[in-house]
Amino acid sequence: MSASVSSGMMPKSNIPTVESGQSVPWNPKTSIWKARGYKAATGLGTAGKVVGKGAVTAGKAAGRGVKKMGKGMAAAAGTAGGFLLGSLRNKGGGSEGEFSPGSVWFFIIISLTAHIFDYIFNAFSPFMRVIVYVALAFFAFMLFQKALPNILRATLLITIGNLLMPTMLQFSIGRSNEIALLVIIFLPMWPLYISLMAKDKVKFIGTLGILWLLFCLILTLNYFLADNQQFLGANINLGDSLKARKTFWDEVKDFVQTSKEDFSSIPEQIRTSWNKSMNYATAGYYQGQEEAVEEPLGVFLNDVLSASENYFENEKVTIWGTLKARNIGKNSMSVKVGCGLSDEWKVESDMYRETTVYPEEFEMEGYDQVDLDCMFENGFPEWGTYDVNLNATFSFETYARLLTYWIDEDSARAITREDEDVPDVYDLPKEPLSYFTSGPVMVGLGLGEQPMKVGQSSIIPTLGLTLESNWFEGKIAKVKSIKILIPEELSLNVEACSDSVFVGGKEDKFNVYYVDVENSKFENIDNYITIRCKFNEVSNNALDPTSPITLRHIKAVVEYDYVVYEEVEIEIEKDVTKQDEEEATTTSNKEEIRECSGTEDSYNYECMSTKECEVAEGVLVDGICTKSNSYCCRTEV
Amino acid sequence: MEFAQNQTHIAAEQKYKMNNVKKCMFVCFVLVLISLAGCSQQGEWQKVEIYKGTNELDVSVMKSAPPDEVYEDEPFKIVSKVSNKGAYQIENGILTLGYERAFIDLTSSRKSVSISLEGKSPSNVWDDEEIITFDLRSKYLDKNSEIHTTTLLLTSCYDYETIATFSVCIDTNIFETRPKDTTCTVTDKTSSGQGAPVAVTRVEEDISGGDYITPHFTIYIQNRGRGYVMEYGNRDACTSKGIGKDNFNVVNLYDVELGEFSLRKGDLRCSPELIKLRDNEAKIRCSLERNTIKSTDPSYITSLKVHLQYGYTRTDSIEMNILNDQSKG
Repeated sequence: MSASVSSGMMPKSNIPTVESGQSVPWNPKTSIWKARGYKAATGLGTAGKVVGKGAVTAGKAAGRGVKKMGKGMAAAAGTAGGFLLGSLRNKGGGSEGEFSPGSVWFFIIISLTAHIFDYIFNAFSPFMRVIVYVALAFFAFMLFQKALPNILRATLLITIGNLLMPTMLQFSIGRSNEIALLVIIFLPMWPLYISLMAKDKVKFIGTLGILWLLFCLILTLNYFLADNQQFLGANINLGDSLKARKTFWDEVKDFVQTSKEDFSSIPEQIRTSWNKSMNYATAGYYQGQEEAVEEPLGVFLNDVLSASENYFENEKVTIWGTLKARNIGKNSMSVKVGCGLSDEWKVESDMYRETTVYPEEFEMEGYDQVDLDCMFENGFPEWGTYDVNLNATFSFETYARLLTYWIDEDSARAITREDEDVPDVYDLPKEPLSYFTSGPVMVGLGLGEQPMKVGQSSIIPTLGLTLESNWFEGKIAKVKSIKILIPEELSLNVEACSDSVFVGGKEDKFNVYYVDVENSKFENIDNYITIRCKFNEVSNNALDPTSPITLRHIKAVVEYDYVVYEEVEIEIEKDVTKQDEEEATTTSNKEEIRECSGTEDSYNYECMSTKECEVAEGVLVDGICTKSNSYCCRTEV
Repeated sequence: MEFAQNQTHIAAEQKYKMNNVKKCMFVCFVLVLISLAGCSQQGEWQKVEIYKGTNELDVSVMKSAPPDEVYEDEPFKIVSKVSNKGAYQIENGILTLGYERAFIDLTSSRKSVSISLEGKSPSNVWDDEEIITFDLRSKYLDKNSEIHTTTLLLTSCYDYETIATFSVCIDTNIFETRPKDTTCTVTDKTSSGQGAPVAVTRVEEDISGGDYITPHFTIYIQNRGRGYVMEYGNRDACTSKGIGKDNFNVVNLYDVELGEFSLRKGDLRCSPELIKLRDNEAKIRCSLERNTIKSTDPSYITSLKVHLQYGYTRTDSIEMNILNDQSKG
């Protein structure tokens, strides 16, 4: 295959004919020309070869196309496509033992960029790192397979090295890992390897390598001599950086854990979404749209952290976080803070959930912010990983509104009979959305059909109201009141409601109704709840006499307690010294256990601890003692 | 010798003067041409074809009235400009305001206003306009609500008409018993509109007969405006009664004139006389009564005038935001 390319910028005699399989030597005088049409054309031609014979023809055609495009087009195409594809020229076209300066520089720049982003800015997640380094390996192999006979082995080693290095950094003897990180930062494997290999073929590469090493040496000395705080002119503690860096193994563990949780929740999610969609289709779920606000309203838990990642068995565990209130005006919210174990099945006794919280109960308003501390006073008895949470229960209100259109039923019929839509005729949205004020709970309102037809024979519409948690990490603890406001021209048929509803008088051109919320249905709402009510018949007098379509709002005010929580994972390690003590006291404890165990009437007493037993202090329900400070629990025989 | 020199000098001076005069005349000629060209351009600019297009009553609101945003419990105005952009008069039309009572209070005494506007005419080529103001006040938003987008509706209802005139050929030589007449030929006529939202868009002609000929005209009508057609004289579309099943998309065929013959005088038969638009379109067929034009009469060109009457309604919605007072900062 041959690709003959000409450029409008150069005399024809200067234009070489490039045979397939030949590399193009670096010539600074023709560099401009190379960077433009030539590279594009040769690159395209080469790409064509790789793809196959058909593509070769395409590549040649593209080359000819570029030739004809003239200098302007050639320059544009060359700059964009020529850079990448022209660099790949060496892959198929480079002769053995020769490097194309373009491809060397190109590869050094991209690999160095990846290295800086990975090791200095710590910008890659482990999975991202895999993608980047595999991509670099692919590039290296394609670009230098002819120039470097042992490229495959080098590619494998460097890629594995790059991928395993973060894990290796976790193992430390003294400050060895800091030094290792510095070495890795200053010795980027790919750029150094390629520059070393190409130093005799590409100008300045060797000099650049020496300058880089000098620069690294100065910075390293500066870091250690300046008490390890100064790095690249900024105050960076590499030790902290190492702690923050998650290893690939960590990420795999997280991924497996998350996937396990996600998979286990799939049936529940399918069931919920199926129910929701079925209910939506059968008007059992009413969607609301959160009001667009600059800053969401509610109480937010932020920066929940554990004082330490690791604790010993029975060591006091401390977690803290920040609670931020966002509320309009001076409406105060009462907040109660708590903390607990998220996966309770791991601990079978109350004593390990004895917590101290500071502050525990307080009022917040406007833009208040409070720092929270929570201590698990007795820690956790067994080593392992635990999910603990910090939670805040606060009172809040959500207001919802739905714009309804009312139209004379004869008029609506006349319009629909003519194949017109009532909303189109009156320049209104087809399905008006129900809006609710920003906050943790979605309150959706809906009517069966809009516009609402008013007349003698019209079907009596149904009002629906749905409550659902609007935040992922939280739930409605208790609904305290639900107030529904209906335009004064309408009234609800309280006998035809899904829940107990009672009349609450009048309020500014609205009829007020309350839902009886003294029901367990309105507590700890994991999913959603819907309340439905029929209207009483509506007469034509309800319509605005001077308007063809009447615009009226239905409103709802829901007061509730909401609990928001955030989890943090802690690691409980085995206390070796305690283990020895335990072994020493096994005999006496066994005696105590024997004392605790036994049957009294219809109860069986079991000791839950190796400590002294207090018979019948707690009641074991589902494997958990219900009273704290108890070491023995009784189970019904 | 001196005389001869003087004569030569005088002749040169005269020639010079003549040249100057010629130059002046040329400049004057150019100026006259320019001014004439200007006049003719001005004349063309003033030429307004008022019976063209599908113009209707235009209802627009002034900038900042209503404003894009108001705070709670704040007065504001809707200043509406109604302009009759069509060629026909509007008498006792209605403009009515719809608003969300839960968020807005009307402070002016009226929410429905009568409108009467002249149509364009050769003596008045400008749109007749009227400014109508509604005074309103935003209400307080719900607690925790930062913003509410409220909808305002302006609905107009008025009677309007369309008069379409076409020149048609009455070809009496339908059997070509005589030598072919070159006076005219029967062809279909089309139009984009007659200065009203309902337009006569096409007229198809065919002629039948024996000793007497009967011209038939199929007239195509289309609502090309942005509103909806109502029964003529009906204003229910601006009340809670709304559009009724018998008065929606109904056009009244007031008259059809073919030269000196007319529907109202009983010379023509049209079917249907009460036109019902389907998908905004309808067609009617009009025929001249029999035994009116002899086939021996020479062919001639005459005018076909179609006069339609109808009510017209259109609703425009405007959205504006009511903001919580707290966000005033």
